[in-house]
Amino acid sequence: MPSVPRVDRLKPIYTAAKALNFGWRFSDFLKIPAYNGISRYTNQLHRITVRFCKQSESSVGMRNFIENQLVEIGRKNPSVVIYAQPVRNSNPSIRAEYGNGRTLQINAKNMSESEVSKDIHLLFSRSGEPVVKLESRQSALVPSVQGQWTPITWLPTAMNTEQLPAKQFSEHKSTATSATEYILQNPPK
Amino acid sequence: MHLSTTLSLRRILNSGFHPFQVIPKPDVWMKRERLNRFTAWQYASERDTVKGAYRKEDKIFTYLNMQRQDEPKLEKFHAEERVRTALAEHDMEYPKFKSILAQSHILLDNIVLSQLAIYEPRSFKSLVAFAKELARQEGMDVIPDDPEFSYDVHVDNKSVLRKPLPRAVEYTRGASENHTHKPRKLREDEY
Amino acid sequence: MLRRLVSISPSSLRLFSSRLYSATSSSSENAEIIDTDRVKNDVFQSISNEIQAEKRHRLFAVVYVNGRQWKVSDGDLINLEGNLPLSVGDEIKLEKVLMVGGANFSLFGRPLLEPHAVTVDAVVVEKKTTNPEAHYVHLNHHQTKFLNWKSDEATVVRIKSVTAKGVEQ
Repeated sequence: MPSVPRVDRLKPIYTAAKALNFGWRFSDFLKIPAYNGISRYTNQLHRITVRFCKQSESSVGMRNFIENQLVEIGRKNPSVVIYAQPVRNSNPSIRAEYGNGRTLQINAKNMSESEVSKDIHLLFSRSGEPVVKLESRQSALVPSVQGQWTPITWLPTAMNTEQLPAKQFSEHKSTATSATEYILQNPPK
Repeated sequence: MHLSTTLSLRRILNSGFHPFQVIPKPDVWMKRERLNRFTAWQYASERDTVKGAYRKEDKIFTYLNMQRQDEPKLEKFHAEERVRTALAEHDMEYPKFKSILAQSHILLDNIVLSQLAIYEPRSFKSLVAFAKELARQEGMDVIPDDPEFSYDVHVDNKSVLRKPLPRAVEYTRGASENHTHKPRKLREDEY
Repeated sequence: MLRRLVSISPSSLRLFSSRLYSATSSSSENAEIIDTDRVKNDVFQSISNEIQAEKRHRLFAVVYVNGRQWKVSDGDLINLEGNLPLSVGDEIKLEKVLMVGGANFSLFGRPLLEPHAVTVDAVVVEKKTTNPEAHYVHLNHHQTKFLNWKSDEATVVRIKSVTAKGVEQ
């Protein structure tokens, strides 16, 4: 049965006030639910509910879409359950439920048939993750194969045995010749 | 009922507005909510007053725009800074390292080199050792590695180093000879 | 076992390092005749053995995709800009590999490795729109302001595996 969705709206953002100037802005690392794609890819969309009004003009595009394209889309994607729900005196909308439990709602009021079709195809290709600013373009399960760098990765083991401070670890290494070296190499006549 | 007193209060003398046929004004709530979306997190009058909030909103949008434009430049800058630091740990100089990599046709860019330095330190160290040996054979001054971690390098600069591969886009430095000459139109293959 | 580093022309550069390091070191002052060909074969053999071994080993690769270089390994997610001509669920092979490496060796391409040497398999996992960014213009000392919220399209790709079975010698 098509459920009553807990939909994404702007309202929760106001209540989540943070002590930042950009408190309304969410950012997160790149994520995909359920390790999708590692062994096998499965479409994360589980259910689509298309709500429309049989009479009102705002639902015209939606009604045309249901008549012309909806069945074809349903046939092409057998893993997705599609509901078409006529609701009197309501705005037409598309509700999509995903594998990670999130629901997305798109208000399709006054949309044309092609716009509705575009949105539905976008919903099919999304995973259920929210749209946030990405901290990084990549994310990894295992970031380092050889072992991540630490300050002691290239530390000489002699540092453990020597009594610090030791002159050998304090010398300044440079390819430029110092003034002393220059004079030693080219003694004044 | 003393309606005339009440009604006369509603009559504004010599006013163009009808006292009873009022034209409804759109509610200002939506605008305020839109503004509040960005300024609810501000402090004091910047949050509480409309004027303060609009001034802050302008600043917020300006900073967002600036940060968005700076992101790619910052990424490259930070990558270069990290590569320099990683090279300094292995006593190698950035210009020498980059020139040797370019001449040996290794096209790893700074972003990926910095990632190697952080996450694959041994690979990065081996690359640095390779570059050091070639630099030494080319006659550049290099500081040899600590014997504990040093690599046994077998390279021949004559067989490895070539002219660097051409870059995708060449940005010539400096102003043009004559500023009144407009740049030529791009050819189709240059798009 | 010493760390060995060998170069071959022109396509790739091979480096091998072992986890054990010896107390002795080689310095350029010793007049030692080093048989470069033997060392070369040693290194290649070690790398081949390492790759063909039955035990699991994780490899990373540096791959050029969509105008950018990425360091990837098994199970990584990559966010590519734009609505690429790929459907969700498509299996793709990333061919421009600049480098491959494991726990004990690295293979650098000059500039690219041979196409048969490394296989980087990936699958398109999601196609979405990105977070809308504000494009704002405010001309100074004027009331003129333009605000556009723009969001790009993005394709998310999961790297399934990085294997180097095709490396010869």
